Amino acid sequence: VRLSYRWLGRHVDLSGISAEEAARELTLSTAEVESLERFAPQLERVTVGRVLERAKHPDADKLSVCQVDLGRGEPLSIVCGAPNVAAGQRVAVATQGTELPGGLVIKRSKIRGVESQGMICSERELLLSDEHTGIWVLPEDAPVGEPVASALGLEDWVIEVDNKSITHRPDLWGHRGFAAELAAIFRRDLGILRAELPSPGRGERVPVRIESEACPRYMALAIEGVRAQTSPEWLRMLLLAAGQRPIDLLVDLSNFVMLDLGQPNHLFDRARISPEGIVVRQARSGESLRTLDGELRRLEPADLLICSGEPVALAGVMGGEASRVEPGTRSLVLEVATFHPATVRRTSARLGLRTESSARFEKSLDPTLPPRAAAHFLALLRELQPEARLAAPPTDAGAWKDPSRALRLRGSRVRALLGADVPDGEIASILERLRFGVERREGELAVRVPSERATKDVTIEQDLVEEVGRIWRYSNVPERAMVAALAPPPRDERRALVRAIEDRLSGAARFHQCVSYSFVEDSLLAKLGELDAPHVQVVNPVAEGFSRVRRSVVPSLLALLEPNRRRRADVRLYEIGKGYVPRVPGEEPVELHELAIALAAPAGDGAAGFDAGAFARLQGAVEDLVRTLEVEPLRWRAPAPGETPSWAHPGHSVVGTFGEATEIGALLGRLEPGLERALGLAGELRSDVALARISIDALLAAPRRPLIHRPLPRFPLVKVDVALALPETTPAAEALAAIGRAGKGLVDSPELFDLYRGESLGPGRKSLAWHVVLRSDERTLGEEDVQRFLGRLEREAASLGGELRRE
Amino acid sequence: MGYLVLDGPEVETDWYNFEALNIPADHPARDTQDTFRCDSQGKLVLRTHTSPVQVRAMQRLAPPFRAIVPGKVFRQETTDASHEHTFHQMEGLAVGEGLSVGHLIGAMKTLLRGVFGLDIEIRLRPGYFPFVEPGFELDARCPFCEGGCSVCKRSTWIELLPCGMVHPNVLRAGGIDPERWTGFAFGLGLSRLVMLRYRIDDIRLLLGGDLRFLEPFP
Repeated sequence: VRLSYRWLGRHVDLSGISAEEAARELTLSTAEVESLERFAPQLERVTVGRVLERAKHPDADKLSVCQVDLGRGEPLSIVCGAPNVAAGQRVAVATQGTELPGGLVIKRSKIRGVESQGMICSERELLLSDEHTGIWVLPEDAPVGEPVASALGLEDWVIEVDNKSITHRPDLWGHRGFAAELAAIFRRDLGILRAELPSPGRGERVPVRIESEACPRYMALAIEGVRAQTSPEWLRMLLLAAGQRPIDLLVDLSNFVMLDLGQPNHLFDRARISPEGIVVRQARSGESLRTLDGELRRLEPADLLICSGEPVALAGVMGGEASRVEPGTRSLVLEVATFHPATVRRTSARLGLRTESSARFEKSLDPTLPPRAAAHFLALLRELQPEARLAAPPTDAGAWKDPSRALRLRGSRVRALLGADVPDGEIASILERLRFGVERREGELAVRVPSERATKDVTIEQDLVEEVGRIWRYSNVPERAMVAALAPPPRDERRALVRAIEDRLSGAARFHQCVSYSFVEDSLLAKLGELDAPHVQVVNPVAEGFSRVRRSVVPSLLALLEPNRRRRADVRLYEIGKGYVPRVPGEEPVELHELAIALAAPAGDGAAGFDAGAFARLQGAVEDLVRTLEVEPLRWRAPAPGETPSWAHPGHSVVGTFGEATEIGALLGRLEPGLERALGLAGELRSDVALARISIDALLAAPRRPLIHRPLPRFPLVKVDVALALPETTPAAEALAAIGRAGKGLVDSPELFDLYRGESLGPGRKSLAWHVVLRSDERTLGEEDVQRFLGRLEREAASLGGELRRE
Repeated sequence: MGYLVLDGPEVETDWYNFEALNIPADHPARDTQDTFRCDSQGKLVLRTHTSPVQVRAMQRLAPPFRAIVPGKVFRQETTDASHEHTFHQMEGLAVGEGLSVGHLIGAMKTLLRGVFGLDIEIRLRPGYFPFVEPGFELDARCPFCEGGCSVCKRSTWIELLPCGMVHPNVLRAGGIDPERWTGFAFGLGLSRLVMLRYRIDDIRLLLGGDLRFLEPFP
């Protein structure tokens, strides 16, 4: 909302209060002032001149050479192209060095051989209107030599208020509402709005029938004897300051009343309204209306219409083109009504047609306002066109109710909620200044909420506390410390776990944490073949193909591999976030809290050691992480059919469970080779990629395995290296388990140190070599213990389809 | 300071995101939220703020309690250097006996002391948010200048966070008696605070996952 400081002054005496002060106080007590700017500063840079003489230009038919007196020194000689310039006129002159809107700087120049020492301005050059067929002729009494702004009394400020800060205040969508706030803040009187509706004894009322509950009140006034005319300067300037383009007196007055009182209204050409009058009803499907902006609008039954035979206006949103006021209009029907806020809001939202009118109606306007607004319009009109008059008594239809209400306010409640010692007398005074009715009772106030505040904003006691607080000023509320028992909040296991994961991965493990979008692109899902999987999907995405909410965090990391591999050889990323899996449409989806880790490095040539691959490195990182979290280590196994996610290479992935749990807690795999190219990891970006997905819920449920000190060994240990030749398909984990069983409790942390494939083993076989330590807490082990271990291991190897290799 | 750290779903029901927060259907305040809707009936949305966790917390915890809720939120809007459709907020909520605007002021000063490491002058001015009454915008005296700069748009005040006394309807939606208990709530723009703190000029970097951006933050 744009407010004119001068306009506010029509309702409340602002003498001694600067625009800056008014804006600051409004911000502190009422609503956020976004900016304060000088109105039309260009009018302060042009000067009132008097045309002494107009002579024809010697060398151009359409130009004239004018002598213009600026009240000082020699008159200026100015070449002017306007047909309406004449001797004796007061005009707006831009002299040398003056900058006009649009950046034009006036210079001394020669026009067709004649020197021009300035410019006589048109309204368009001063951004006052589109008028440019002639110069702007000022009133005859304008003092020569003064800046135009002060000479015409047009000095003004534009106060721009953030609309979001007044969505709850229908009363603040006009100047009078803000003037009332200033009156309360500065303890001044709000001017009386003199507006009684005359009711002529003759003439037939405009018939109005309301067929919808969405219209609580509809007033229609037939006004005759009007004519088209340009609005006077004062009206045009106030409208301009409020950001409304002046058009014609009738339309300007309609806008003025809306911007003054906050009550939208509409003018119909009475010649276009049928003698049967007006019907307010819901639209029928298939109906349409061409609105004032020339668009043909398809209507739906939820839309509220004003009809006269045919639809003539979309109630509260916009009028129809056919019934609009034209230059030839001699008789009007003025509509001043109250419409159901949600109805107006829905229609305006559906059609994408937000108007000054709809913005106000959707705030729940006061139904007692229409007669005052109608009288205000009529009074202003008759001042400017005395021959205008009501052709019949006004029509006032509808089942509206006065929304003003009684509320109880306890002074003790005000003081307790604000935490400030506001005396009862002050509470009453503030409310009275805000035009609430106040009656003092035992220990409380009976408060009457005026109708313009009661439609929505002030409905409960707490709302009155705000009224008192904002005028009393929150800066007068003393700071207080909260007093509570010094008890630490209960331990949050999930949060502690997430912190521990972050400490480990971002710390010693040297991964980088990211937080990415919850949306996952359709194109990526298509590559993964997951486009058909059920996803939570928004119906209004920011971009095509960006509507699906991720089911898992892993795809978010997949999307980051290629851009990051361009910049870094090693990509080590992780994210802790949410994935959503829908169950039943419209019901809350299942939320999965996940850790996803990605590790990508340039693809090797196979020369590196067996444990240098991304898969092995990531598996090591995951196992280290789990150990520091003090839970049972992961038990890995090959995935069953259907357990491998789309991104994982089925032959190079494992699933892990915590302790005895059957639910999969972790998935780890190399990137499916078929995806490498699709993800842009080809050519020089060819990468060795491994990914892991770990369920935070599974980690939380995993059996604890607290770190506990183990006594240091008292007896010497025996080292033995063993190599097992096994079928290629046997996982190392099974070999490890076999070593454990063969050791019968004597084996301590075997370490894999070699993977060998070769002719000597035969096709489809591999050899895994381990450093094994045997030790006992009870005795010193001997050679016979080693031999018994090797013997058992030989049998274990055979049961796996392999053999113990003897060097 | 005894605040719990709570979490809530990103895919939220219309009831928690709007209704329970005193924002019924057709309320004009819904316009300012630019909601991502997850079905045509509008029963599910991507939460537009962390405030729905206020009611979830009230339903779960017995007063008195204090909690903060950091988290991801979503707004359907075109992105540029200062606008994102996904960003982070931190909700704060305290419910107790006799909590007042004075306590809110005290808590906010303590919070700012923690973030900026010095005492910062603040002011409350009226602000409208349907789930608080009275509601405020909290401005902090600009810590970057004395007398006006580009950050505070030459006003010497920075609009920092919305806050207010919890609306009785919200307490009721959370199963708490508003005659006995009162509370205050605040919402901190975490993304914006991080950008101010680390002088990040493009909000899109925060969720972009670019290692060159992430690496300096261990």
